[in-house]
Amino acid sequence: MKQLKIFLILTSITLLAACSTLMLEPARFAWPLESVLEVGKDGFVKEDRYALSFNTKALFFEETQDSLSYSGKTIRLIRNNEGYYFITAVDFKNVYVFSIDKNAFSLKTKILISETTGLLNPALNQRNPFIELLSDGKAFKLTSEGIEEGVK
Amino acid sequence: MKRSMINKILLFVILLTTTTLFAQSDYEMVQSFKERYQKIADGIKAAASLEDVDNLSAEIENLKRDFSAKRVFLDQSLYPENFNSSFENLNSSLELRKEDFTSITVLQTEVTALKSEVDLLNRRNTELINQITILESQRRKDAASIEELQRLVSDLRATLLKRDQLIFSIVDSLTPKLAGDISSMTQQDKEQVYSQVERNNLLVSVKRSLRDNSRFLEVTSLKAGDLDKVKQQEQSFVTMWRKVGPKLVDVYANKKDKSAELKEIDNLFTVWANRIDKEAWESINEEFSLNNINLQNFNNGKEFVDVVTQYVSDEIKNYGTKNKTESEKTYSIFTDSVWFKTISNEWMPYLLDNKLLAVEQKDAVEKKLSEWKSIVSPQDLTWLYAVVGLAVVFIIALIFILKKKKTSIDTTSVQS
Repeated sequence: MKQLKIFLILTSITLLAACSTLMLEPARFAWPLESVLEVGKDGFVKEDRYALSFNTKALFFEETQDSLSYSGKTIRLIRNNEGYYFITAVDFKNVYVFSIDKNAFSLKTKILISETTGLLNPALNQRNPFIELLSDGKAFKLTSEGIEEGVK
Repeated sequence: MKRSMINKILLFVILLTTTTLFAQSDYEMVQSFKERYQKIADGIKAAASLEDVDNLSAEIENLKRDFSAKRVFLDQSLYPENFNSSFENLNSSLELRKEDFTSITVLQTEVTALKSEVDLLNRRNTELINQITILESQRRKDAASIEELQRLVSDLRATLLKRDQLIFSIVDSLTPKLAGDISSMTQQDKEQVYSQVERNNLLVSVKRSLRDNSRFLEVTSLKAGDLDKVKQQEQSFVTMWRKVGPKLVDVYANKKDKSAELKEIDNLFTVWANRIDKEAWESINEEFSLNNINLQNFNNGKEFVDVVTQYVSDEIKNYGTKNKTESEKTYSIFTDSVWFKTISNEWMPYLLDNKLLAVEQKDAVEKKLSEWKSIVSPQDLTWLYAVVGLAVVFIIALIFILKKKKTSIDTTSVQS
């Protein structure tokens, strides 16, 4: 029995050592300033400074249930220190938090800001460790999990 | 205690309200900086005077002061620039623009001096042209008048040349602005060139110069060498105008009356060029008339050849009917005093070089002159007769000698 215990402990240690991932930390992913990006005719946005581009059609469909609602729109995008991307736009009721997946943005959290009316003139500020959402004179402190502090 | 509590609540509400009111989008703040930056940068490009540049310098300082509290944030956000490099860019643009204006001010001072000199020369030229016109009518009356006329023509020629040089200098002052592709000039650039052209009366000066140059040719009779210099002067003027003229047409595109002025300048160039060609034919005709050979007017190579050959043909035809001595005198004056002395030596190179006359036309005239010569002074054949006579005597003498020799041989053979 004692031998079996020793065997299990050694096996666990070996397996854990084998599974551990190389980590480079701390890392800061925060963008100092939000990017305001126009959605192209094909639904794509392109961010020049960070050499980033992606398709927004699914985002607009998720928000409005209208597959063509992206046309002529502008999105506001910022990345927090953890590396999550926060996206919103005029008339959106939510702020979408994405993480990076293989060739894709993967939705982590959908933060509901207002159930009744869409955001009139949203803006995202970097206020590490939060992302500050401003809209209609109201301010929200957001994390990747949701609203940290309500309307101030 | 209660009052103090109310005050604290009020203070809290005020703080809360102001915090909410002053919550500002970072993006908007950066955009506001960029907009003010761009406005100043555009202002530097559009600045029309040193005063404008100085005002912009103050605006740069204001911008720096207003955003200095956000310096760290702007350093991160103004990618690929940063706070300092943005102001360095503005200040270096401002310095460069300042240098432009310093140069422009120097040029403007020079151009103002040139313009007053042009005005002075304009007046002098008018006086000289008037004096020459008066003297021209007395030209054959006395030697003093001729001498005075020559002096005035020489003075006028010098002042015209000097005035043209001054106009060239004024045009040169515009050249930096007109250099390069005109289509890349903004409306504001065009307005600047327009106001500079107007301020210096450039179009008026060019027109005046072209008219005076034409008028100079009208009131004077020039030698081939002088006319050649005038031709060179005209070519320089044309070259200068070709550089700036089409560009000025574009600058003046929206000014209809001024566009007409530019067309008028083009016409004056044509008038001048035609006047130079005409001057050559008139001066040549005058050479003949000074020697009392009155030819019809001719204004081009064909007319010249026609008139001269017709004159010679008439002289040949009239040779028998006119007094022989008079015909020979006319021939001598025409050929020796005019054609070979002046026309052939002085004018022919000018006419051929400037394609006013073709070589074939020159040959045709000279062939006609040879024909005239053969009539007026036929070749003396005495020497030919003498040679033939001598040859005949020689042959007879030879035959006689040979015959005599043969007789003596025959006698000797009979004896032996």
